[in-house]
Amino acid sequence: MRILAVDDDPVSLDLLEVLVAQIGGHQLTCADSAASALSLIGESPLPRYECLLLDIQMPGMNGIELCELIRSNAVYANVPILMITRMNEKHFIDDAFKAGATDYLNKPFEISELRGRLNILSRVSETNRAHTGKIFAANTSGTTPKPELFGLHSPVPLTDIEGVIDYGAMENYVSQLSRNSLFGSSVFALRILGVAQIFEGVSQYEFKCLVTDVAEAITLAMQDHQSLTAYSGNGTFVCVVDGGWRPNLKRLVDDIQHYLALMDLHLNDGTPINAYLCAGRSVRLLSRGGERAVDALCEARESVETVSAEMEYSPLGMCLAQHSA
Amino acid sequence: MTELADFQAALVKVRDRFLSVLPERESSISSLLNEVERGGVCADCVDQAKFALHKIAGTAGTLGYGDLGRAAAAGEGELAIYCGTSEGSSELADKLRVVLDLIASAQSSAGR
Repeated sequence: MRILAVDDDPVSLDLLEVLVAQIGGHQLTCADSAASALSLIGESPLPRYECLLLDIQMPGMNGIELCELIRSNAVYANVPILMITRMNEKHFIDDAFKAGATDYLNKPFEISELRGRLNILSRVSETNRAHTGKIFAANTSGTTPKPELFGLHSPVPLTDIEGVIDYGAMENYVSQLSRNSLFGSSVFALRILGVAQIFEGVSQYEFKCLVTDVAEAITLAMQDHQSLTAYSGNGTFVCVVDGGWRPNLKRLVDDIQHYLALMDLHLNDGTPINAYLCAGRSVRLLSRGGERAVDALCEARESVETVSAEMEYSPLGMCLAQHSA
Repeated sequence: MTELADFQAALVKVRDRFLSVLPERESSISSLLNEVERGGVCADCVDQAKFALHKIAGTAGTLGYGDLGRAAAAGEGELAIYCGTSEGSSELADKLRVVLDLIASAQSSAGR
């Protein structure tokens, strides 16, 4: 990968150069400030760098502000960003992921940790490149059939919604909380009822708009609380909330439905579309470590899938699903 | 030269760079310790020492100075409690002294 590392400490940059060279397979460019990084990133139709490593504590613009600014550039909307930092308090981790960080690595670190993270980010970068290639193919060949850009189960990346992050970043977020022993948060999932029928009946663009609108409604309903939401595919949204807030999920779903009703959703041809949600059970991240924290996300998803399956097969659920589609 | 030897030689250069910036960081920490011992701490001095401890804690461990890195992290944590106040503490002074001792030890073992 072509990597850009940004850190005001020359020792940190020297160290990264040596470690990345030893890991092999990457080209590293270093910047000693956010301003210098932005100048290197410049303006181009394709990303000049395939991965960014950002320190947080820097004079002038800090790494979290830089991350947010880079993410606002559409060319870098999906480029993996790894925060490499000494800042291990929860609010820094929260803010970094909210600003668009893909992963978080605490200093000091071992070369094996850096190698592991870069391997994962390299795969993310390859997936992004493949996806971008399909979009370019779709845009440049007018006669070919519309390519399958994503499936029902794809965790479609949603951009420009505050508090919404990629599902991969969400897994990294809960892992980071557990690494830093910042337990106490809980996770739950919400799912669009009859999502398979909806997916079959609308275009991919319309489906992505629907998922985006639902994500926006979810964040509006939770705007007074510390939370992060990710779309994991198959109409399912996973939300992590701070330990201090134990949401009443039934009331939360009602609030989300209220916001969706206000949005007055329509398909491209003007046909109204309704999305009805259900919630699974809340799973505590308490005392979970490493991969077990990620397992909590899976438990939350499984729970909502069970609930939605029960509801979709009930007479009311069938009625709602047909009404949506 | 083998690949491992190349890597080790490169790491030695980074370690030299780390040691070359240590006196400046040591001076910031030492200044703060003097103020703590006198019983009054200025915000500017706290900021400079915090920056120095933060930077030491970020790289020392990876460069083989694990004890120094952990001591700097502990000092940074203790300092965060006193940031923005005009009072120091014996706990903070103790932690700063440990960092300064370990800096001296790192410099001495490197022949500086």
